[in-house]
Amino acid sequence: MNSDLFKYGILLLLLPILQVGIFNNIDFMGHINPYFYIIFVFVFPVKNSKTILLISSFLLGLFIDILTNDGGIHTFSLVLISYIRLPFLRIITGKSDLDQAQFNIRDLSLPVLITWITILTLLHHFFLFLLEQFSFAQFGNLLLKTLLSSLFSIVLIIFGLQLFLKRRSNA
Amino acid sequence: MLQLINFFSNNKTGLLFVLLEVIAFVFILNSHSYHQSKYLSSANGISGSILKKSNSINNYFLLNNKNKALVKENELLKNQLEHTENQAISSINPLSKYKYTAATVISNPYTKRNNVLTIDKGSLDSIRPNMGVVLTNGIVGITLKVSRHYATVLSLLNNQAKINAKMKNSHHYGSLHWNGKDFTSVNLEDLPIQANIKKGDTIISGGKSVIFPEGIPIGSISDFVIDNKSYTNISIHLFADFSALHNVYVVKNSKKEEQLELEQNSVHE
Repeated sequence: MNSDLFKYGILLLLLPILQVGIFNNIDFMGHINPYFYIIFVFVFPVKNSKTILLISSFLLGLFIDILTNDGGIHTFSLVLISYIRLPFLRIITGKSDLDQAQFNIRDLSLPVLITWITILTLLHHFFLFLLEQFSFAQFGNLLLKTLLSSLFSIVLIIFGLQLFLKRRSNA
Repeated sequence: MLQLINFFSNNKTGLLFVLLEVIAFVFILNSHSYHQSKYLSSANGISGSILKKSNSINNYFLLNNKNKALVKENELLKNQLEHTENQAISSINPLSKYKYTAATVISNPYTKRNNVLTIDKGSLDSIRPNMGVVLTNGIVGITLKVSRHYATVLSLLNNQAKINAKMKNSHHYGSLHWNGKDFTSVNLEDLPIQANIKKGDTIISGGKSVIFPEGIPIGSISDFVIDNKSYTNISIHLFADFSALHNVYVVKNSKKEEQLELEQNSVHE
């Protein structure tokens, strides 16, 4: 538990720097950026308490918002998906009684993992862009931006997840 | 009510979730007001230095382009000097009320609806809130929050920015406002129908505010519609490339207080 706390504390500080230093500068096709930092919600162990996840997500979102002058849009969207990540996992796997103590993200089959990440990423990006423009005007544009940006994020997150999980299973 | 309390005491994570979301939402609302908190903006020291580091890495890969832009700017300034040599040189005139401080943009989002830049000069370089930030070929924005070494700038590409501008060839004024779609163009609003405009006309800064000097070129008219005897949708193609801002100048108007005080007093009488 203690080493976990340390590990995810480091991740909490590292992800904002990666996001602002690298991923926010990609500007693919002019304005498409991946939001890689939400990988935090996927790698955070299920066995740990929900309260800690919510508070760390809040802090992570806040760091990103401060660095990008975005007010609270990253905080809001990230806390949202970290609250609904387990209910969604239950729906996708079809197991209403998920054994939280035994559960491990490595046990998920790839299609389930991809579905889970896709749904949460789409939700996160949709709320992020909606809160950014703060109106329902140009709704088509909003959906397009959500889709393109999500595609980018999902690929990066799945790739990053493979690295993260592989490295830890060898250790 | 009792049921509600019961529900939340059985569901502490739910309560925490709601609480955190409410806090985040308050931050969002705050960011939409002009007076946003200094500590939640990138003008604070820690995020300033992180942004500066990440900017210096990116700069390394963009040196070539920046050199070209600087050479171009030099050329422009030299030409201006040629033209003004025989006239009174207002820019070097010691009585000129505008002083310029060079600054580097260390964070430059331009694809959001409301963009806020960060520059690497702050109160130690006598930067204060509400100063103009300009280029030789455009207006960048107005300083918002200032810390010792950094300042944030409300970009022209922000819903809250309304900047006074006028036609180069007449004295008709309007105000610039960004519609959030394309970072290469802004709209000119409230221009009276009496102004005779055509495509390609140049728009310069108006000098009606105490923030910007008059006569900085901003852009040219790329399109306009006349509807019900007034101009609607005059789009201005910006001369400055907002996706590649690097070296900017902060304008200090040394007679700003004097002018504001005079105007204030005149209103009260």
